[in-house]
Amino acid sequence: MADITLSESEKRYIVDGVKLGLRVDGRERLDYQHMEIETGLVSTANGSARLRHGCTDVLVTVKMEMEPPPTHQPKDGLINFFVNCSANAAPEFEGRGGEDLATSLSAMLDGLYASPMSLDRSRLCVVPGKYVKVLYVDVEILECGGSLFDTVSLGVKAALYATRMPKIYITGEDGGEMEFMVSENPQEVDRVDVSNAPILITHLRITENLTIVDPSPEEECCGPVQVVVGVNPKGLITATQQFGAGTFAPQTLADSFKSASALGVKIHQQLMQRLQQEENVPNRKIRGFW
Amino acid sequence: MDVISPEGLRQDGRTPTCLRDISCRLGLYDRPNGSAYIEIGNTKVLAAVYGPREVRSLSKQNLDECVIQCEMSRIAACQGERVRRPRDQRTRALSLQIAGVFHAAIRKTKYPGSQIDIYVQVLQADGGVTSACINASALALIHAGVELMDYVVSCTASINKTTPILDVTQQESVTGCEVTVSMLPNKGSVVSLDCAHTLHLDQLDEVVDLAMEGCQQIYKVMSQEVETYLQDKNAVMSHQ
Repeated sequence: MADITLSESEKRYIVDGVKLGLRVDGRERLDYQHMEIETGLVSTANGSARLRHGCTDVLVTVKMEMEPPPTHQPKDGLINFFVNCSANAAPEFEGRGGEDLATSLSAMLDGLYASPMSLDRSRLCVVPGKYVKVLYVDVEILECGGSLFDTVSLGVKAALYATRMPKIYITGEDGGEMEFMVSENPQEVDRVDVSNAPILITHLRITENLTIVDPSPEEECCGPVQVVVGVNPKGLITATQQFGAGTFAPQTLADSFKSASALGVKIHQQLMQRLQQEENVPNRKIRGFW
Repeated sequence: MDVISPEGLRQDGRTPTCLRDISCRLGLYDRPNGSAYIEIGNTKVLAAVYGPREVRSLSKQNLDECVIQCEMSRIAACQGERVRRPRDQRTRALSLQIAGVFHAAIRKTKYPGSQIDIYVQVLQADGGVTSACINASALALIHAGVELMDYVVSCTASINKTTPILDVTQQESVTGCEVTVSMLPNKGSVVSLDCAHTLHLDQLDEVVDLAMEGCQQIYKVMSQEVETYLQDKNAVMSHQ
C-alpha cells in the first residue's frame, strides 16, 4: 500500500528477526501497537470515532436515515458501509486511485456485519414494511500505515458504540401515512447494541509457519499474503478472507485462526473498557485533531 | 430569524465584525511533506502537501516552472445532510480555485519540471469552507517548506441589510451573499475574490475591506502558530 521499497538484505533482516521472535520495533510476534481512540468528534454525525494506530489514522462517522425497507426483509433495518481512501493518506489515492482498496475494505465490513449474530437489525425497525433506520457508516482513511483492516474494524465498532439516534415516536396514522415525532430531548436517545459486534485481526505470513499481527508497512513488504479474520467478543470466528498473492500452509492458517480468536477476545475487552471509561468522563472535552 | 438581533449581536453571540474562534496546527502526519489542520468555528479542514516531486504525467510537465494540483474532498458526515460522494463537480471547481490561488503565491520557477500536490479534506463544513481550505493549504505548504512569496490568507464576509458581517456561518450565508477574499497579507494584494449570490456594487467596497481586515487577523493567528511550531523545533529565525 505504501510506496516503500526494501532491499533484499533489509527484508532478510526483518524476516530473520521474526524467526528469532523479535521485530524491528521491539514488539513480539503477536503484539499490537499502541492505539489512540476518541469518539464524538464530528458533531454533524450521529456517531463518530477516530482511531490512530501506529501510522494509521481512520475517521469513522455514522449517520442515521429513515428509509423504506427492502421488500424481502421488511422488518430489518440496514447498515451500509462506505470506505473512502483520502488522497491525504497517499497521493496514489487521488481521484479514483483508492477505489480498489476501499472496495475490499467495505466488502469485508459488509461480510462482517451481515450476520444477525453481529448486529440485531430488527432493533432498527420503526414501522415494519414502511420505515426502518438505515445506518450509513462512512470510513475515511486519513493516513495509511499498516494493518488497515484491524484499525478500520475497531473504529467502526467504536463509532457504532458512540452512535446516538433521537427516539422516534409514532403519533398516529393519517390515510395510510404514518406520522412521526422525533424527540428533541438530547437525553432521549436510542443506541446501537455493539455487544456482539466483531473486529478484524490480520495475520501476515512471514515464513511457512510464522505469522505476525499488526504488521508495519515495512513488514508488509516482506510477506505477500495475509489472512484477515473476523472475531466476535466471545472469540467466535465470523468471517475470514485471504489477501495477496501467496499461499498458506493449512496448519499455519489454523494456528492463525486460533491466535486471532484468543487475541480478539482481549482486544474486544480493552476496547470496550476504554470506550466506557471515555463515556464516563463528565463534561469531556473533545480533543479532535490536537 | 434575524441574522443580527436588535441588540446588535449575531446568532452565535458575535458582533458583526468578530471572527469565530480559530485554531490551527502544523505537522500532523509523517508521510506527506507538509500537513496542517485548521478549525474556524465549526468548519474543520485537514490539508496535506506532497512535493515538490517528480511529475506523474509527463504530458503536464513544464520545464520552466512547477505544476500545482489540488484535490478537495469532503467526508460523508461533514454537514447536516449526508454527502453521497466525497468528490463532485462542486469540489472539483473549488479545487481549481484553490490551485489558482497558489499559482499566484508559490515561487513556481524555483521548482522547474516538478509537481506540488495539495490535498484538502473537509471534515466539517459550516460556512467559509473555501477560506478554511486555502488557509490550511497555505500552512501545509509552509510546513512542507515550499517557497512562497508571502502567506496566503483567506476570509469571508457578507452584508446583512446595511451592516457588513465578517466570517459568515452556513446559516448566515443562506440569507445573504458570501464574499471570499484571499490575499497576500504582507503585500496587501488580493489573489482571489469570489462572490456567491448578489451584492450591490456600492456595498462591495465595504464588504471587501472587512474581509481584508479579517484576513489580517487570521494572518496573525497563522503566523503565530508557525512561529510556535518553529520554536518547538528549535529553528533559528532570521528576523528575530
